[in-house]
Amino acid sequence: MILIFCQYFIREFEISISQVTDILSQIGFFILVMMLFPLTIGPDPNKLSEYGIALVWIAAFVSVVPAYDRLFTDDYLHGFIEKAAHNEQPLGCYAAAKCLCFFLVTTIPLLIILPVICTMIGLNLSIFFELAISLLLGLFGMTLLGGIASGLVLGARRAAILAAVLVLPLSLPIIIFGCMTGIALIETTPIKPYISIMIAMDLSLIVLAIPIMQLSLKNAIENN
Amino acid sequence: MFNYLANPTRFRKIAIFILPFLEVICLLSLGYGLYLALLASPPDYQQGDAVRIMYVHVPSAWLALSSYLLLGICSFFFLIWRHPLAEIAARSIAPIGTGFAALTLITGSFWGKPIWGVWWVWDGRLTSMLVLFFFFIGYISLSNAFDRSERGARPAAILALVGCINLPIVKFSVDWWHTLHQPASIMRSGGISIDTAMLWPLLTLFFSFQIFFIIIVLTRMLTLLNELKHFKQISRS
Repeated sequence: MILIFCQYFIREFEISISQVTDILSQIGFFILVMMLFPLTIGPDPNKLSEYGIALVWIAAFVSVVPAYDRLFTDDYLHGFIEKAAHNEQPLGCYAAAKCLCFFLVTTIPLLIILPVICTMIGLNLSIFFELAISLLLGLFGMTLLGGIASGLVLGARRAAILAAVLVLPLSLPIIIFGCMTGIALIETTPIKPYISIMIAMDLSLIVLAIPIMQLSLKNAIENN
Repeated sequence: MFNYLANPTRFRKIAIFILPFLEVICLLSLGYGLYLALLASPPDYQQGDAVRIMYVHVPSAWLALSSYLLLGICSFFFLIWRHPLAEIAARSIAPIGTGFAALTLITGSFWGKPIWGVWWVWDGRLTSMLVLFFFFIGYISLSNAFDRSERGARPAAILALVGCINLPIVKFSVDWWHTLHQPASIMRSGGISIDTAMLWPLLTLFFSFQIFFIIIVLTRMLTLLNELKHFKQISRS
């Protein structure tokens, strides 16, 4: 099982690395969304640093959500999922590897660019580490939810907007507790309870999301 | 019992037979309930006549929640036993549940403006109800998003089951968070905390809304069954 997982993971990672432009355009989109906020709510540094953490969260979510419908679509269209199912390999394993790889490829570049963004909107860099941890946990849960949505919309018309509509209501708990972490950071109250809740949500999502993805992938190839 | 009723032709016969009775019961109880709610029941000592919005707001909220629960149960039956009637039932329930959720939000904001002074607040109950509304929208758009309509049934059923997480959040949101919305007064531990003069119109209207819901769901199910039969005839000829 672990061996198959690693094989899938390496395959996915190689494919993602070869598509650097996708990663770059996603990061570009993140910066562009961040650029909209000073232009819309005004360049006042006090206001920007007050809302800063919420803005980072919104921009991070908005920049990853459009990518979700592509999570399984390419492999579905190229017949890779069908081949894996035909070889009686566990589809849950494939889905987990895919999600983990997608998470790493989308989140790590985002975290690399994050200090720059934080400075630009006037967030104090001393909270950067905690912010990065909470963002990491939040985007991990988001990727699993995105995997569910992506599995469900396989083969649908206008899959991108549909996946976004399905993901956003589900992701509200993550964004609520993520932003609560940020507020606690600014007010210098303990953030450990919020971080613990986010870890709990992520762990339960791992247990719930993988069977659901497996089910929806199986359903998509059966009713092709 | 389920297997007995789950035969489409038998279901159709029974549904056509009981629909007129249900319509009569619905009209009678709706008239009586509206009379009780609008004329016979006393105005609230603080809210005045604005409290009468409750008689529409609360039944539609209950129905919105219970129709999502029913949607989840039907989807579960469809996923496990692949029964076509369960899928048709889920498809019929979804738009009606959306309507009741929308009605809840709209009447709630009409009620909130005179009493709270605002149309909308971002607290647990209102937000989770809005999320419920979006789960209904997601269900409908997912089940209609495929070129072959039967292809959307299973993904939508999975989504309906996932969305059931939201139901306890809506129910207990008034206990978990500080909110302007009043806490539960009927289904709560420690008994009913509402006066009988207001409880009776509420329950009568809830009953008539329920019957109304059943009538519409049955009618939609019959229509969908006819549509399926029609398509089968076309594809055969």
